[in-house]
Amino acid sequence: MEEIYSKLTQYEKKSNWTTRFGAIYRLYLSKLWAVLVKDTKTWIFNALMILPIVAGPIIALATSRTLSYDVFFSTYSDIMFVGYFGLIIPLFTMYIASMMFNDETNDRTLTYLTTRPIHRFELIIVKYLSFLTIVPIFTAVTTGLVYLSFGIFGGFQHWQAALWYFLAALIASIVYGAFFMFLGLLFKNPLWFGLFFVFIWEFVLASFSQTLNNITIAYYIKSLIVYDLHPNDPFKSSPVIFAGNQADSFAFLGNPANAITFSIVLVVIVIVSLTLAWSRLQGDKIKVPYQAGRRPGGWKYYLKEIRSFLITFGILFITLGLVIGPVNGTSKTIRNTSQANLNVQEYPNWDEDATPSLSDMGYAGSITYVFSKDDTITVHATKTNAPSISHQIYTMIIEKEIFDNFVEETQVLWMNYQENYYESYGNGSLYFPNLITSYTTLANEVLGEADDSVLLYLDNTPQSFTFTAPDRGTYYVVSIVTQFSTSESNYFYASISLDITGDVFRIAGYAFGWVLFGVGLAIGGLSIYSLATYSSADEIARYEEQLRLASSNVESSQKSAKNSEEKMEEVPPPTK
Amino acid sequence: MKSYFIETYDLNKWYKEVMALNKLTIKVDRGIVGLLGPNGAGKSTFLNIATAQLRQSSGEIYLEGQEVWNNPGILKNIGFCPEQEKLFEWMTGRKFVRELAQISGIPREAANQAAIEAIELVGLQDAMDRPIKGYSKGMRQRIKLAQALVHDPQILFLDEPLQSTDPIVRRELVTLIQKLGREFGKDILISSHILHEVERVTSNILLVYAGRAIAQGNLSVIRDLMDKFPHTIRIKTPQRKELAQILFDYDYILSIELDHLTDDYMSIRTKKPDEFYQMITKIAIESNIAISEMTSPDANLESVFSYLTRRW
Repeated sequence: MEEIYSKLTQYEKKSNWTTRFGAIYRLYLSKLWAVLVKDTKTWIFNALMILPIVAGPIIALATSRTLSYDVFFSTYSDIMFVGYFGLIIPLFTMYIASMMFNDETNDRTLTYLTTRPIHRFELIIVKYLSFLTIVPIFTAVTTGLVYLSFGIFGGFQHWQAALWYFLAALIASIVYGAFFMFLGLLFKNPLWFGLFFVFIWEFVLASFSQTLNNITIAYYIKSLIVYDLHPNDPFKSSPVIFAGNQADSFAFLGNPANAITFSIVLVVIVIVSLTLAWSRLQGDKIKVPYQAGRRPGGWKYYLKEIRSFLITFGILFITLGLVIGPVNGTSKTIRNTSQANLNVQEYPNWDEDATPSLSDMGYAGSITYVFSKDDTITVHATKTNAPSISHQIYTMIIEKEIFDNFVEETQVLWMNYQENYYESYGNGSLYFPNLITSYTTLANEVLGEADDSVLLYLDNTPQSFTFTAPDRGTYYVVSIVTQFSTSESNYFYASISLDITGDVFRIAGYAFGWVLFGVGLAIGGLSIYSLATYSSADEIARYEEQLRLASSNVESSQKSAKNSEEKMEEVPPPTK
Repeated sequence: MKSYFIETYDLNKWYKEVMALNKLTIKVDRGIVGLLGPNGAGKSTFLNIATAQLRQSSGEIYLEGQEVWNNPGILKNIGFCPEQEKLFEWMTGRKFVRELAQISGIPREAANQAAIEAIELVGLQDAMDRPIKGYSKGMRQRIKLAQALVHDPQILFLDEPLQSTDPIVRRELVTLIQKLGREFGKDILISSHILHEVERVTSNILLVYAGRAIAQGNLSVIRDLMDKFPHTIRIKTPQRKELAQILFDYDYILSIELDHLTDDYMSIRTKKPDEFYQMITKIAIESNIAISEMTSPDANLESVFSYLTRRW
């Protein structure tokens, strides 16, 4: 026995992070493998992941393979967008990730690791790393399998969509993994809350409300999926968008988050989940367990207690501060896109007594903007259909009053025309050239009064100009027809998109960003202060001093009691 | 070097309304110390706090003069054999000990050899390549001890290390713990709710009751008090009738009761439990009776403790 034990004492021990990380990593990897493959309960979820594979063959066979490739793969995109990213990936990662710490804290096997020289934050990191090694690849590969089932029947068209979903599945399971790992530490039985979160929170909120979906993770994942890689090209968009499918309606009606927002939100969710998981594993509470001022060490001790929170909020505030402040700077471009439908026609089809609107008259489309002083506006404009017409179209920025006057004048023209048209009993079209001539004169006048304008090329090439607002005021951005050939009566579209760069409101946000950054730095500084100043030797000395004082108090009180007894004896008995 | 390795000051721990530790201010001597108290006295809570598994509600605890919580540096010198029976079920015993040895800093190449030696030390080498899933209670107890020893720590915390082991293994483990303490100079805190178990390992005990330390020091005085009370021992054996016949001959056995709910349990009451424990191993070997479990119900000890607390 002694011999064996003395052998054990021979081993040299090196406590560096690579050996620790390697051992825990291998341990957790083998555990995750056991859970994913060998556990029968997990196979319910594995089956759920692989279930959509049957969709491709079923749809192809049910429709006798008569669907066009676009419709066929639009269905594929719907299954991925709503089924996979709305439900299946959250559900699967919820099961795996929330069980990672939960079963160990419940049966207390975590003890075997936490009695070893590892920091608890390292445990979180390594556990998350082992999760990242297997689960995202697993989910991404299953998305590939679903594409394969469609591709066999659809000739492997639209492979960009599959690639896009593959990448999104990686990112989704990375983000959900961190979040659910934290949830698993938060609740004793996280599956119930997880199911609530996935079905009610993530699925219902994200699907049925356009405002509330901002507080779901699915919203940011979906924003990432429909992110447009070619913002200046109206003919290209995210490869998963097919006309009228779920991704399409989300992209145009769901008000998706922009690139900066979703990338930061997703990264912050991961970081904050991990640090909060750490504080949870460490048992930190923001509430002071007992009055900090009344114990030796005082506030220094309290700071030590909440160190993980200090670090969490330090990181959160520094990132948010940097993003709101220095990264976005004092100027941030807002992009705004709209379309004008231009359709000047002979037949006056509005109410006889009513004044015709711009769309009734069809010569212009306008959008109202309020610009602040020194706002810089870059207008991109293009004509988007009817390639062979000889009209002249201008896109211009004009002050509200001038354009309103112009509209009133043209309304008089159009109403007179309508009157003449109906009174001439079938020969109304004779008045049409007259209307166009008088309108064109007015239009060219108002074009002269515009603040800035550009002639749109007939071959649909994009045009642009830049304008700086001289004063705060209301402006119209207008696409207007200035010359019109009555022999061609095509309708056509003019797309306008504006990049507005202003600095009035940005300065407040910029300052707020720096304030957040400062708060973050201060919180981080406090945690470093607590780390640097706390010393156990001081604490022991304080306690020993307390004990010494307490015992000397007892002695002195005993002594005084003795003295008083002695005094009592010395008091002479009262004389009668 | 100080003469104690643990010091606590006003250590409190409460779970909602239940007070598990109540203003515990103690200094635990070096060498082997038995932490003795009935179930629910706060032994496990204390060991969990001392090994940084739990955080105290208030007060301080220092190990070798360093704070325990959130200080992984000191865990290098600690080995902990926890109370719970669950282990990493999907691994084999050898792999389990090997990975834990590596986390404690033994290089990868040496860890396997160290794991085998530690398992040999607790006498489990036959089962070391089987998955832990299939281990019995006693085997689990021994593999837990192996993982606590494998990195040769200076301080050992053993939470009920002898429970649910059979008498022969129990004797081996007692010898092992004694040797570690006496020959290798380890500081060992061993908790138990059975006085006679602890007594065979050490005479220096720390008596805990209702979250308070009520006595610390040599065992002999306390044992005299406790021996005045009959002691109940529950034995599990397939040949309980044969064993009962043998035991009737000893005069310090007060009564023998066969459990009528199960086929293999029996309870005996004795005035001299320490003599009984010495004798029972001999009987088991001589008359070839397999004793698979021996436990001492708590109610018995609790009455003694309440008696002890009443007097002090």
